[in-house]
Order: sequence, then structure tokens, then C-alpha cells
Amino acid sequence: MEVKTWSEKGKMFSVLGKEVFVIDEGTSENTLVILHGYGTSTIDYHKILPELTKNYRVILQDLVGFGFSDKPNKQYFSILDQTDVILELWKILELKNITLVSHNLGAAIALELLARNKTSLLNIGFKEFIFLNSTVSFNHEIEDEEHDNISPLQDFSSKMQLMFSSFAFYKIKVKDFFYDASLFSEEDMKARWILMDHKDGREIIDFLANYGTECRLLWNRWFSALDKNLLPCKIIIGKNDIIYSEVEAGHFANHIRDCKLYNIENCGHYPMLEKPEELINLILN
Amino acid sequence: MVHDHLGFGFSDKPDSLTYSLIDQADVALELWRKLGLKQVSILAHDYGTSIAKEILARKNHNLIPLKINKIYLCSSSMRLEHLHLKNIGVLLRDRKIGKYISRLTNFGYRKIRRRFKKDNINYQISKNYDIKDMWNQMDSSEGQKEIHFVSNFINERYTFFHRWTNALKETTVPVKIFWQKTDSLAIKEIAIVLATEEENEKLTWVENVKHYSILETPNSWIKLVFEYQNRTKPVF
Repeated sequence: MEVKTWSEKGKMFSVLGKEVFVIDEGTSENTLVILHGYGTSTIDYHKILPELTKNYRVILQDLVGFGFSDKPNKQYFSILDQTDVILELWKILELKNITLVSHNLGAAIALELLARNKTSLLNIGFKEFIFLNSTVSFNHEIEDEEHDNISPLQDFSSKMQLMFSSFAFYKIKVKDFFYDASLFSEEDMKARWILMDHKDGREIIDFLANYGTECRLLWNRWFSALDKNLLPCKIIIGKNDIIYSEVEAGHFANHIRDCKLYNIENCGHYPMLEKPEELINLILN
Repeated sequence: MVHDHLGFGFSDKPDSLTYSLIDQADVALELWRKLGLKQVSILAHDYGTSIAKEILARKNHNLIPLKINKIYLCSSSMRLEHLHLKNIGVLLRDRKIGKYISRLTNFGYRKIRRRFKKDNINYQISKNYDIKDMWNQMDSSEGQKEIHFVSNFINERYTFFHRWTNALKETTVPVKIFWQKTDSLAIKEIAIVLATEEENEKLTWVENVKHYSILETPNSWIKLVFEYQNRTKPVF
């Protein structure tokens, strides 16, 4: 997908003083909101968007700090801030009956949204939660020898720095996240790089240390929100993901009341690029 | 309206290991809603100021129906580069060592008494019964085991530094800062920096008292609050 073609699909919205890129397609009563993950943007979803719009009104937004959206410099834009922006955007768009699909960083936002929804101050019309390849990779309570390396985030930061240093490095390193890297086309790779670089995005991309700390601090809040959750959940994972383990997915699936766990064989961290058909089926079924 | 935060005083001390400042903000907002409060002024001290700032951030982001008239912050250690952590604070922050350290503070009653004597010019507060009350409350429901988790709030202030600074910068709610000049926990430079940074904030010094001025010099507090209120409202 060309960056230019993709940019024409959406509009910029001014939300809480930040410019946010939003794609709003489809006319169904039921809404599907997709929160993309770290280091990517909405453009990753170009393979599954057309099929999903047949069944849903689909909302895709570039999170603050990614894609076409604003990239605030010299500060950490926290999960809480991201959540506030999302909630304000939903108010502007008047969304109802929301099915929420989320992927790594997006999943943390989804969990915060779940926690906010627990109070009577907000009433978000949620219908279902779908977590792709990650709930949140952190539980400081299971920190024993067996689960010693449950969060790979720490080692991850240095790897990321190398990865984002140049396009040549990026091309090599990003392949680790795929099972069959040939499914990530040169064009998509280039588009992702351009969007990352847009508005000096590479300057601010390495906030993983703060992100890790925030996840640890809010872990218990999110976990108890999941505990009380009665809405149906799906967890969809690519079996060959290098940063998200099956053990963890199983742990989550057991913990959530109404939760189904689906595996996609021969698939890495980005099922929307590697196995779009399977992913569409799992989201829609 | 005053309440003991989760994990303090008579309130529940949940078994769940961490309760964050964000949860504390949720609890406060939920409680105020249950009590039917519609318009409030918020007076916050130390740990409470972080909760007040989170509430302010939510208010700025159109997430709370509650009308906030004014916010008073006392001893808010916002600028962490100006905060010199005591060694014990650093140790408590460590996830692995923290729990042993907080157990050690079991021996802390005498230490606390000494500390109060040292830090407070007004000796009335160091009368045994006062300290004993405070200590017993911390000791109740195994409160001391949780102390090190509450210390997580230091980490939270690092993580949400920009969120909360922006909340103060963006807000239209008048914010008033009280500061004790000789406070040994939250040094006065922090107050000066805060007051010069945010235009709509006004700073008032409380002379010759230390960190627990609410207990030491309650009258000066009351006077400060009402003086500020009365600037825009008729005297009642």
C-alpha cells in the first residue's frame, strides 16, 4: 500500500489539542475500532480493512506518536493520555456498540479503557474485546525462575534502537517478527518506514522504558478490571510470534471469564499482514 | 468531605499488591459521585496532590462531569529533579528489597517518634498518643506490609510527570500552592519552581512549620483557604 493512497482514505481530527489521523469506513450499526501496535500505524491493516467494512463501521486511528498523527517531542505520551484521546475521539464520532481490536501497545490502551469503563463515570458501549498477539506482557506477580523472562521489553529496547537507526537495518531486523517474511512486501516495508520517519517520529520512538514502567505500575489495575469483565473476549495469536508466548496467552484466556483463544499456525507478530484471511475469519465468526 | 485513601487509615488495605494513584483517583471520583457532590474545591497534601493532578488531567480531557472551583496543593513534590530521596525511599522503591525493608520498619515506632521531634518545631505533635495513633493505624490490617507498594507512587510520579505538568499548565481551574518554608521532605525550591512555571498559580508560604503543618498550625491553613476563597466569593 502506497502512503499517499492510504492518506486519502482518512481525515485529520483535532482531539485534545493533538492532530489525529482517522479512517472511518462502513455504514453498519456495529462499530469495530482497531488500535494498532507499537512502531507501526494504521497502514498495517490495509489487507483486512475492505472485508471488515462489509460487516462493520470500521474506525482506524493512528495513535499519537505514530503514522500521520502528531508526534509530541520531549515528553512521554502515556497510555493514560492515549486513552483520554481515544475517548474524546469516540465522543466526537458518536460511536456505539464497539468491538475493540487491539495489538500490543493498543492492548494496553484497551485494558485502560476497560478499567475506566468499570467506574460509573463513563459508560462506553462495548460489545466485545479482541486482543491480537498480546494482552499485556507483564505480570510482576509471576516473577519466579520459571517465568523469569516474562517481559522481553527490557532487552527489546536496544534491539529497537538498532532497528530504527536506518532503513537498511530495519529491513533486516523486522523480518524476525514474521514467520514468512516474504509476505511483508517491500512496498509495505517502505511505507511503514516513511510513516515512522514522518514528523520526526524516529526521534521519539524509543519510549519503551517508560512504557514498560507504566505497564508494571498499572498492571494490577488492569488485571482487576479484566477480572470483573463480563463482556466476551477473543485472544488471537500467531503461533510463531517471538515476543509473545503461548504460556502467557493461555494464562490470560483462563483468567478471563468469557474468553476464546485462537492460534494461527505459521504466523508471527503481525497476522494482519501475514495471514489476513484467517484473521478476518476469526474476527468475524 | 475527607476520606482515607485506599491502603491508609481506616480504609481497606487490599491484598492486591499495588494500588496506583490512578486507582486512587477513580476511588475518589466514584465516592464523590455517590455523595452527590457537584461542585468542589479540592485541598490536597503530599501523596494526595498527585491524585488531585490526575483528577485535573481527567477534568481537562472532558472526562468528569464534576465542577472544580479551586485546587489547593500543599507540599507537592512535582519537580523530581529537586527532590532528594532519602536512602530509605530508594530502597523501598526496589521491588525485591522493598518488602524486607518495610518489614524492618516494624521497629520503626521509636524512630518515627524521634523523627517527629526532629522535624517539628512544635512539640505538641510529638506527644506520645498522637504518634501512637498514627503508628497503630499503619500497623492495622497489616498495613506495613503494603507500605512498600504504596512507595510505587514515586515511580508513578516519574512516569506521569508530563501528563500532570501539562494538566497544571492547561487547566482553567485556579490552582493555589501552599508551602512550608522549612519542610524537610519537600524542599522550598520545588515550590518556587512550580509557582514561576505556571502562570495561574499563586504561592503562599507557611512560616516556621515542617511537613505536617496541618497538625501543627491548623489555624494558618484554615485562614489561607478562606482568604483565597473569599477573593472571588462574598464572605459568608
